Amino acid sequence: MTEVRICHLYPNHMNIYGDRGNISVLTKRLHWRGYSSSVTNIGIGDKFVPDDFDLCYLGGGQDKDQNLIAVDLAEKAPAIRSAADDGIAFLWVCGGIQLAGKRYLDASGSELLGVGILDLETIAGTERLIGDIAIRSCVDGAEFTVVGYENHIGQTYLGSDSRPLGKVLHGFGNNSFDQVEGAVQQRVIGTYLHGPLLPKNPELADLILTWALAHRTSESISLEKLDDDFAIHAHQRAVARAGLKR
Amino acid sequence: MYFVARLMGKIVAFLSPLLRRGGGTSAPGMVLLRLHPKALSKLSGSLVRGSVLISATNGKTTTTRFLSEILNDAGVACVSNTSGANLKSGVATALLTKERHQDMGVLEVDEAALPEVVKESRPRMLILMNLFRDQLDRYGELESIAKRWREMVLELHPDTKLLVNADDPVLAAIGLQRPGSIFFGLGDASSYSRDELQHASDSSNCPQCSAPLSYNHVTLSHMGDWKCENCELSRPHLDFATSQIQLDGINQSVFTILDNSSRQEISSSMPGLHNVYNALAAFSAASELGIDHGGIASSISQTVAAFGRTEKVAFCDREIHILLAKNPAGANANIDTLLLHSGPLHLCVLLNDRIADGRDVSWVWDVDYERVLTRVETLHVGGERSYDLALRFLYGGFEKDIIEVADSVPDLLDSLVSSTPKHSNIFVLPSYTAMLDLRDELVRRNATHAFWEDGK
Repeated sequence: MTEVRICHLYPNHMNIYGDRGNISVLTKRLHWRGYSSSVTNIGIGDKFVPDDFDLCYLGGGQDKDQNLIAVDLAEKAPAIRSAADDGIAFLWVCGGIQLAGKRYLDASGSELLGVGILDLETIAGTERLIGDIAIRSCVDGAEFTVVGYENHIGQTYLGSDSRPLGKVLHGFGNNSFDQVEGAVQQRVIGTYLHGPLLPKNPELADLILTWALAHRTSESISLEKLDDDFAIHAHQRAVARAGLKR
Repeated sequence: MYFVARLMGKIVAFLSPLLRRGGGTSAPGMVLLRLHPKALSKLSGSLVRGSVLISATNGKTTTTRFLSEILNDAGVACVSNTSGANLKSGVATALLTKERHQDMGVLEVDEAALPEVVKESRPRMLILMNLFRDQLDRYGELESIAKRWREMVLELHPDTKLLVNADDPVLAAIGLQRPGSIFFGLGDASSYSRDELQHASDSSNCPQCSAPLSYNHVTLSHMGDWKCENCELSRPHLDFATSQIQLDGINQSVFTILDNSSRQEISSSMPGLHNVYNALAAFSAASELGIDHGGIASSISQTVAAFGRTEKVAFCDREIHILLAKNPAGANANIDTLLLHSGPLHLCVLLNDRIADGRDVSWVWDVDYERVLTRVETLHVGGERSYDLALRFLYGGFEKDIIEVADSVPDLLDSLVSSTPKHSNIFVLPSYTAMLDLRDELVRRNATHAFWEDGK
């Protein structure tokens, strides 16, 4: 049985709002299709070995916790970059998208270096961007809507090497100006849609799993459909709330 | 000018119960504060015996209820915002509409509103009970509320007595800043504590040096008997401590409270460890206010739950237990409580996403619903975000066939009755406005009273 090896980075610090829901979705959707999976928690002081994993998840944290992991993450950065170059699938959410970028300039103007697996940088804004968000994504030829919730003060700007995850249909997105959300580069996805975004967005979950399986097996695998009845209802309700046509 | 503003507020107070649901628990104060922004300090000044303010993420309403029952029984007439309207406007409304003989305030205050209310009302006592992650879209990070509380305590008037839950590391550190703080906590909770922190623990790092804390026991979320191996900060000495806690299912709790010189047996009809904290906080406060311990114990034993807080409603030959669950720590405490029930579990979880619930419902993924997986016989989900809950349970390992999604409150009640045998206990864990919606329907069906009539 093919096993997908998932790395959950800093689960004790970066878990501000239901991030473990995303891990449940990834493992259950594999299990329902007859694949097995393992989840390894990698925290402060643990070694990150790129060859050990097919998928890497990082969630959001309080500022306090984000500062606690920053030094450790800088030590892991070279290994994480080599994992991204090697085609491991990444989903870095909320604070994660900022840490995946090149740098973060906080309100006092001091610079925090990111891992650099996404070509973007983030500057602390003056107002938090909070609320429901819906975006239209087109990644690897698949087109789908992603719905969720954002809550961030950072204003993120993409460089030329990364593409947005989607066009904003409702909400803010990366910053107050560009009308785009998230970033994609190689098999790395960063997004401000925080916490449990995968339960309501099975297409995004399956895209990431396809990438992880491709890394694991070196083959391109098309995943069988699942009964996504609940997800479709929850997704449609979110779309309706955002005042969008389906 | 103040007189006119006060009169306007009173007129609104007279009219609002006639106009709409809610019984006018906030509107009169809102009008008054609009016309006279400094009204709260004037109103507070009119309380001859001063006021006690109570704040927390969880347990405000129940603790306020315990304490006001104790004081009223002891002959101290108290005004209280029993309906849970706890923003500045709700506090002002309670004081504005108080009866003439009520000369002391026992008031619950929203965590974010607390610093301003404390500053303006200069309470004689302030009780800080806990801080958990809650509605990040509204309150921001837990740490930002903690920071504001820290500053508030440093500026507290010297006459204000501060009572702090020592089991919450962040709050204990805030209390330790100020000489004379009174600390309460669960002394011996070994039989109900857990070996490790729950998933949704927020403050498990040392508030002084940020090193991970170690615990002799963990009670709820990040609370317990904690210490830091690195800087040696530890839970302060408990002025009031529980011991010999016995949780008797969903029916009652029995425990002993020790202070420096005496011990008092307590029994309470409110189940669960979280209610032990609430009773302990009220006991400590009442004791510091000079009420005799036997009297406190008797008032606690007679206090029944506030609306929606482990409230029991008889409905169609079934008992509906409403356990408000608006954040992970509260929901987990309720799950602990319903696991104490030995019979089959009929569970119903309701989730809305209005402003009072928090627009962001991500938090349901931080609740350990999996702990009831093997015990659940029927499972209903409802509210505006019913399908988010359905997904939560599906990915939590519950079979899809068992997850019943209700489209409306009337449908939900009908389905609860048709899918459970007579005399069943049905446990409902609703978010705040989902609780109000459920109670509205129960009121409509003559099963209970309106919430603004609660405690009257």
